[in-house]
Amino acid sequence: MSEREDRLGALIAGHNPVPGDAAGALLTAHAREAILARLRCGRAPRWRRFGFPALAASLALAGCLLAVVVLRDGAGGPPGSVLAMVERNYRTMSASSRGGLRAAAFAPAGERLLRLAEAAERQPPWTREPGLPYSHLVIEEWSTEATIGAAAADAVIVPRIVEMWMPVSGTGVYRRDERPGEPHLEGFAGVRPVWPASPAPARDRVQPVRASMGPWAARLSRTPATLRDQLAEGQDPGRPPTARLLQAVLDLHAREAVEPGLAAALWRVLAERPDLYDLGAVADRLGRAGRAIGFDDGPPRMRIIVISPETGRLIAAEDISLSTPKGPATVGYQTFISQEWAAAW
Amino acid sequence: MTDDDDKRLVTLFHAFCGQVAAYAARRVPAAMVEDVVSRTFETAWRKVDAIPESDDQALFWLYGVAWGHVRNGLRTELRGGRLLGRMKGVRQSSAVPDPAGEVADRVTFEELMARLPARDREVLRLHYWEELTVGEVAEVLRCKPNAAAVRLHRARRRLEEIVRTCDV
Repeated sequence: MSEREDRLGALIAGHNPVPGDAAGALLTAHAREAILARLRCGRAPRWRRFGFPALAASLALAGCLLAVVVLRDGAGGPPGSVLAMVERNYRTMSASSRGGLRAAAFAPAGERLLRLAEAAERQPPWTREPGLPYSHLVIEEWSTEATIGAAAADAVIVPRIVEMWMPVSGTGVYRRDERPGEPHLEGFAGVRPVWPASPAPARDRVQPVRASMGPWAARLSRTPATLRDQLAEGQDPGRPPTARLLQAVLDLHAREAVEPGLAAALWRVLAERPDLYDLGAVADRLGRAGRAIGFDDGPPRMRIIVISPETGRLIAAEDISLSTPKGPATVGYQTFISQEWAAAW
Repeated sequence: MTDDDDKRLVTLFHAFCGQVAAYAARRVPAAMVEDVVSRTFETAWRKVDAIPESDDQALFWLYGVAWGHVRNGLRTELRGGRLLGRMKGVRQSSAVPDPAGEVADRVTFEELMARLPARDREVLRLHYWEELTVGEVAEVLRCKPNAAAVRLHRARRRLEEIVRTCDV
């Protein structure tokens, strides 16, 4: 190559706007996982859902956003989110002394849950091969942490992405990694997300499985009557039956991959509960379509799960409080990004 | 799609998401990088059978898909975005924002490159920015290595001529 060509090559290479060592920071871990989740659940990404016939769509979107801001006075999440759905019904929920979902006259969720069970049953069955001894989960979540000192009290949100490898046998050791996440803070203007200054050291991430962590998916019955009793085991007997069942379902999804047959059985168990309500179609915090099923977990607190109507899979859960001075507020959420069986961590 | 397909796609996504994002960021505004990555892997999910077996070749295949989305799919959005930008009184560059001190130099280089046909620009970028060999460029552009070598040679000559006439 001539000197002249070398100079030209150096000129071009020197104007590379993203040198190789800068490429890693282009997409956050959250953005990557959100894209992957959309791809794997077969949902078109945002640009495709909205469509982009250039200016017309952009202007329409801008107009809608403006209308939302004006009409909603800046409160709450975008239309379609769980929080937005609660806000729409807030007046009726808080109108009576009884309050909550029952006061808002939502329909019982039994029939809807049976349809979601059928959706799960339509999915191809999962067959776990012997070489895949772990459930591998990726979950996005946040919780609030309060600090109370002599001078002032402070509350912060701790967002994280949890990645877990749990042995399906329920014995041995499991691994749980936590990484800083990017919270979706609809309705939380001014709240500052933080990440602990000293994350747990790596050696603490691998821990022995405890017997109290069960019941384990592999040992759960697919028969609703038996499954109901199995789920109730280990839960606080002082809590209402539906609260115990919901907690068991969430614990299971936060711990293990739940195959479609088991998911169908879970929804059939929940379908028997008269105090679960069908709250309608929503989008979870990754934009995936879901059906919200809610429970008054000791009003004014509500527990809401979101199930994909296409796959019958649990995709999200939110805890919402109606008792904050400014209206309903999410006090915690989990977005179940992916679940599969894995050979190793 | 089989479970094996799904596993391979997830593996490819984790392996090459960063490189596809970098490829996109070298060609479109930063705000559109995520869309190009989404589109590219959505195509991969749809056409899993067309992805080459070897991981290296799969990356070149993804670059080729991304190039198609950059070239065709985003034209409309870019036009709409520029119009919106003008309505807000904001000038939107066609490239990634630069540190202030480099803007003048960068615009000059972009202007030089803009005088080349799109295919010449792409072959130069693949070779000098993605650091691909001529054979790898050929795989991205889905042509024979000889054809890629000729294209690269011509693109260099054309840019050289532009640089010479502009006295850069």
